[in-house]
Parts: sequence; C-alpha cells; structure tokens
Amino acid sequence: MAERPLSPHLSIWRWGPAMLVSILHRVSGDGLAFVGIPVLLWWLAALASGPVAYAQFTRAADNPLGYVVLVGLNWAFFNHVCSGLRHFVLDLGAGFELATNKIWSVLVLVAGVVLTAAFWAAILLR
Amino acid sequence: MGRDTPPGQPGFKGTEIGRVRGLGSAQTGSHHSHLMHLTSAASLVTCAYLVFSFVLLPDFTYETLRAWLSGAVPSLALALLIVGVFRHVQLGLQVLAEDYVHAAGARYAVLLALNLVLFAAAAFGLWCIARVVFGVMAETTAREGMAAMQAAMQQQQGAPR
Repeated sequence: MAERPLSPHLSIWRWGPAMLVSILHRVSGDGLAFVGIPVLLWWLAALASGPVAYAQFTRAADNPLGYVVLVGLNWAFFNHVCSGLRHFVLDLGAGFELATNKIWSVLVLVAGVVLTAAFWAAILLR
Repeated sequence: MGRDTPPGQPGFKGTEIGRVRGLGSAQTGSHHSHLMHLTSAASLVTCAYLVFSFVLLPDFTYETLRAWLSGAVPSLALALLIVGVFRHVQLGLQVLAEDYVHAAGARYAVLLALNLVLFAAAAFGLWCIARVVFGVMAETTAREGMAAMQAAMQQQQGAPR
C-alpha cells in the first residue's frame, strides 16, 4: 500500500482561495467554540448574577484586549457564517467549477471582513 | 483474483479508495451531515436575531440587557440559540477530535469529555437565561406589591377612624 499523506497535510499543497477558506472555516469555528462559547456563557452568567458580576464582565470587555477578543470573535462568526453558506451551496453539488469556486471563495473571505466592519460601525455609530 | 475480483471481496488488489468505492456509507456519516445542516440553519436564524438585537439595543448596560433578556421573544430566542449552537459546536468539535486525535482510546476519552462538558455548558446557559427571566419577574412582583402596600398605607393614614 502506497504511503499517502493523511490530514493535516498543509505543507504539500500550493495555497489557493478555496484551501484558505476551508482552513479558516475550521479555525473560525473552533475559535468560536473554544473562546466564543465561554464568553457567551460568561456574559449570560454575569447578567444572571447581578450588577457586580456584570461590571466585572464589562471591565474585561471594555479595554483594548477585550476589544481584540470581541472583534476577533465577531470576525470568526461572520467568516464562519459566510463559509458555512458556501458549504450549503457546495453540498447541493453546485459551485465546483474552478473559476466559480475561486470567485465565491474570495467573496466569502471579503464578506466576513465587510460584515464585521459593518457590525462594529453600526454599534459604534449608534 | 486480482483485477477481476470485485471491490470488497477478499483478494481484491487496489488502492484503499478502490476497495471501498461503491460500497456506500460505512457508519453514520450522513446522519452527522444532516444534523450539521439542521443545526447550522438553526444557529443562523438565532444568531442573526442576536446580532440584530445588539445593533438595535440603545446601550449595553446591565439594566437594559436584563430588561431585554427577560422578554418572552429574546429569552426564547436565546434558549433556542443555546440548544442549536451547542449541538452544532458538539458536532464540529467531534470532527476536530476525529481528525487530530489518532489513538482510538484517547479519541474516545476526548469525545466523552467533549459531550459531557458541552451538555453541562448548554444546561448552564439555559439556567442563566431562566434565572434572568424569573429574577426580573420576581423583582417586578415585589415592586408592584410594595407600591400597592404603600398606597394602602397612605389610604389608611388619610382615612378618618
């Protein structure tokens, strides 16, 4: 039996948009799972526990590091949603032509960033 | 034997993919895929609700968020978000463990821990929402009761005996 590369095998392929969007789907999904879920639960627990606990949460969120985490989670969310919608289309069996696949891969990456920027603009300009 | 042996029969010579091609699913992959579609659709709807709520809320103070979360629609939407998103996360992290934890025993242990932790975390999230809803409900009842009591006392003091 030939020795074939098993996942992960990032080092042997030439990078392209489809590969990047696939990897970022996993990265953003796992980021949301390992960081987003704890932040969501912390927020809910703080709201359930009282004003003192909520002040602790806002103190952690309302500083440069907090914003890096929140914006990062936000980008992860929008990126994951966009590439998830791409997966819906691919699961229908559509969008595998090389040019189409490349265009939608790039658009997914752009849309994730644009939606994150739009969300924070909407929050900050409120 | 060799070239003429159909895939799946002993003596078939070929690559690993050739051995299994055409045999159909070995395990429960299609169920996993179906649940992924279902939970991602559920997560999409409930997360969109949360995102739009964040944009539409006037501020993120404790009072505003508690008053908002104690409402019927937001609390139900967030409870549904917890259920849908946590199942989605469980399915996603299962794939992560299956891809990167190669030893069978360790993989089983990781999947076991993953399911237990996520189930407990989801229960905690739902409990937090319930605590906000019933907490605000109790505060409102207490405030109304206090107001009614004060009104009754004022009436009693004002009335001639």
